[in-house]
Amino acid sequence: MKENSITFDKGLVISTMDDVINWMRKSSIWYLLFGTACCAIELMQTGGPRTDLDRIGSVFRSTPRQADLIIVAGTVTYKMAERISLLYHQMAEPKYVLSMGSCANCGGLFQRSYSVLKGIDKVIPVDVYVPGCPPRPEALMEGFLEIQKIMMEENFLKTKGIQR
Amino acid sequence: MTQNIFNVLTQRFGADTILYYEQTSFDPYIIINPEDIQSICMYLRYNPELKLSFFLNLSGVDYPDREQITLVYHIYSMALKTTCVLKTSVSREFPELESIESVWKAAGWFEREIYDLLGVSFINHSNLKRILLPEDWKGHPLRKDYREEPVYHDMETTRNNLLETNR
Repeated sequence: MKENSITFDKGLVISTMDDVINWMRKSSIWYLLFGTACCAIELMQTGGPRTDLDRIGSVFRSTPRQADLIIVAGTVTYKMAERISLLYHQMAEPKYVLSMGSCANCGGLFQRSYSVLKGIDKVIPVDVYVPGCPPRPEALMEGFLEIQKIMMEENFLKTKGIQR
Repeated sequence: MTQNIFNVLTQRFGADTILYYEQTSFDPYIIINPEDIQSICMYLRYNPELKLSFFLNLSGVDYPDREQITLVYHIYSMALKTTCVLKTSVSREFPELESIESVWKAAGWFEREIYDLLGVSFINHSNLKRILLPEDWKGHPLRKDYREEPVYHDMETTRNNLLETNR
């Protein structure tokens, strides 16, 4: 937000509406309470006290209607992929996808398996890939910061909707 | 102990049904005729000497070179702490076998799994349908000659190997 804003004395800031909206949005990324395999355990750790997701305003929501971000945490089978696609389409725009761990990125360890989807990007568009098996909480936090960067580049008022 | 079970079974069912006994170091097993699996299991469960009343596991192995699918039954006696392993083979083209759901109700789920992954159909099963895979799945993945289809429900089932494409 620094680039497009001018700061005066006495705490007065002049900025563009887009920047203010994006700034507010990035400070409250609500992610879907959702995990498909063991990466979800690490996702819980990221919400824990050491790398506290709450301090950047991220809390989980248990309904896709209220969520901004879906974290695909873990191995995705074909059976589950259809459900994930449904959840993604139930989310309101603007929405973001974070693919967490090798399995969600490319199938990972189970790439030769008959029932595992080889990467969640075959089904839904992915914004940020976090590598690792599973990624450490620090890595997932880095992924969140990348999502915040993407959010700051959105341009809602000009396009009247999402355009990426 | 399995030797004893083998003797008891041979006495009851005869050598035509109870085919062979293999003494191995870990899990000695008895090979039996697939047609009598239900009556053998019923006999083992309610025999007052053997007391093999606990059904542990049912698994299947595909042997394409022998044109056979082998089913392995693990049965355990809680009272005597003894294990019994029964093996029986069915043909690969027409795999069909009596269900032992009438002996142990829980075995029905194992049989559904084997039906799902190996394609063995169990006669007199109450609910023989796929348990793990989607119901419209084609083929039985644990057969050695199974090949994955290129597309499933508009989802690609292959991914380019980056090591090969970026070379």
